[in-house]
Amino acid sequence: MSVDAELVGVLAARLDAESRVRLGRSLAVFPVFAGDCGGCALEWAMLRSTVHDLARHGVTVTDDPAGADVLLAMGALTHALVGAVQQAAAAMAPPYWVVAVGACAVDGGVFARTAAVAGGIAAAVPVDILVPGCPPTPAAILDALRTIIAANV
Amino acid sequence: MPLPAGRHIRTGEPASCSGAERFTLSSQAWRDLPAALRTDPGLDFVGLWADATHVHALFGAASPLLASVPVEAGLYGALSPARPGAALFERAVADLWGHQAADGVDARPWLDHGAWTALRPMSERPAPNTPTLELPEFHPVPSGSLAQDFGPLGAGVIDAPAPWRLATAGGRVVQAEARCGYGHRGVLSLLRGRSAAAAAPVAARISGAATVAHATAFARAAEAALNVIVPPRAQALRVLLGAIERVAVALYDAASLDDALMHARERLLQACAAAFGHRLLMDAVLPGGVKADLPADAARLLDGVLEAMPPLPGPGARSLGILDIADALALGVPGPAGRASGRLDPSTPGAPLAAAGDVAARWRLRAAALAADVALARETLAVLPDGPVAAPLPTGSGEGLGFAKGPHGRVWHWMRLHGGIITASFAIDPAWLLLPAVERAGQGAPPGMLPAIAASFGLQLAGMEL
Repeated sequence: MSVDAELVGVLAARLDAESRVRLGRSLAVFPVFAGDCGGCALEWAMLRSTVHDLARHGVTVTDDPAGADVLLAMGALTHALVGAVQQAAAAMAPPYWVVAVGACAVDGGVFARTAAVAGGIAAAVPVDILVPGCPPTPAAILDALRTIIAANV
Repeated sequence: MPLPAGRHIRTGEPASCSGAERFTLSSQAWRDLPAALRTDPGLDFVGLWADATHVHALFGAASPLLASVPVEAGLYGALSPARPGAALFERAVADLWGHQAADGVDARPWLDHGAWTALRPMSERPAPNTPTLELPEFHPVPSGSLAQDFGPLGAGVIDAPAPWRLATAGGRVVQAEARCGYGHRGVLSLLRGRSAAAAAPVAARISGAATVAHATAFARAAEAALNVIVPPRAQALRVLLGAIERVAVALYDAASLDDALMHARERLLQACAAAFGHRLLMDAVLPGGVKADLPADAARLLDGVLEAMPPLPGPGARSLGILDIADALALGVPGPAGRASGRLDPSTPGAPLAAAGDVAARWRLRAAALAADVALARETLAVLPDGPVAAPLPTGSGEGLGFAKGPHGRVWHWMRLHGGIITASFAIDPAWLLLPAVERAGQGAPPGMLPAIAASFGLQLAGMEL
């Protein structure tokens, strides 16, 4: 008895499609706090609380960039953190996404153009989604994460 | 026998600063200050900063006393040998202005890790610098302990880009040390050269968890310098905004005890968005008054949400994260955290004290403070005076000091204006004195409990990452 290569191919394609739908609807987020006032961090904490219940949306939070799908950056990128952010991004397994949360992570915000600030998070790594606002609401941050999940189906 | 420090400072040359008694001391008189401070333990150290030519130290929260000294050959006398809380300020002054504290207890950099595009960015002549990151130098760990490093990114003690080194022995922390600077944004360089009105959005973003307090202290410093009288309705709205911020932040900190408190916080933030246009109340307070009036229906909405505020839950862990009275006094720990260790807080006379200095004591006092702030906010809403909500800000010159009660202790702003433009300024956040307190209180705790200990103090580093 021989293996039907065509059937294997069909099964593999089905498995691939269904696993993407079922398993791909989750997202592990590595939060990065940079040169921020703590305002975005407060709204991120609200999003992580039972008020929003991130797990319901398939979003988990990780302390390890190697296990993360999303680098979620808050605050202006300081020169002191450029290397650390690049190292974190390099540790992530592609494909991964970078989300800039808040005016400071978008382009440095009110802290742009000082001796300490390099700019937005894009000064270290390419950015996929910008979430403007000072700070953005928890719902706006969640929408960005759900957009990535939706794009993965 | 040296004079007590308060009297010693008053022997200096009187100088003008609205909101404080100010004296300029000679270098020699300043060098005698540590000995005078030792004989005057009741004189609280509040903060220390600089401008291009002088170093300034603020004492005595009850009646502010500002002492200044000219910097000579790049040096001034350190105060940290007599007031340990001055050490972080002295390190920051060296990084930002290049003035070195002679005989300071710690000469390591604090904010500057070699990554800025300019050295001494606040000095008269900053030197260009090619950013190269130097790894922070930690204290050596005690022998027999294991060192564990965290950060600047990833899991840390709090949500901030600070590296921490924890030395543990037998599963307990024997030494905890955090390093700031990775989140330093150059705030003071952004305030300088702008009018108070133009700089206000930056001041409101020094610390998101104390944005009302910073904006109010900043506004009061400008108003003091320019002799502006704020209309009664604006003053009352500032009281209301400050109380709401303290309630909202207490709920955030207390979510470390019970996550369900975030639901109450969310209701309050939504009411703030409806009433003041911003969930965290950023930019609600401006120099001269407040940004917008509070309509009657928004006031009723706020009052309904405040009426339904839950009390904080049970007091949290006993005998965890102890800060004893000696350390609280030596560091000058402000706010509820200092009172939980038995230190009278001059900014809240009559507020309750505790002795245990542990997580439970801090939460007991913070629960009482939350109830008092809810009551204050509702009383203020009930008797809001009528009238305008802002006074015009003239273009003038002068120097002023302002303060406001923040969620974790008093916030201070000092500024000097020339022709309406800020030429020098500084902001003192409670973080400067709370961080050393958290490092101290973490000793003896399991490393995994440090976040809960930090939350009981309300540690937020952004206020020091100027």
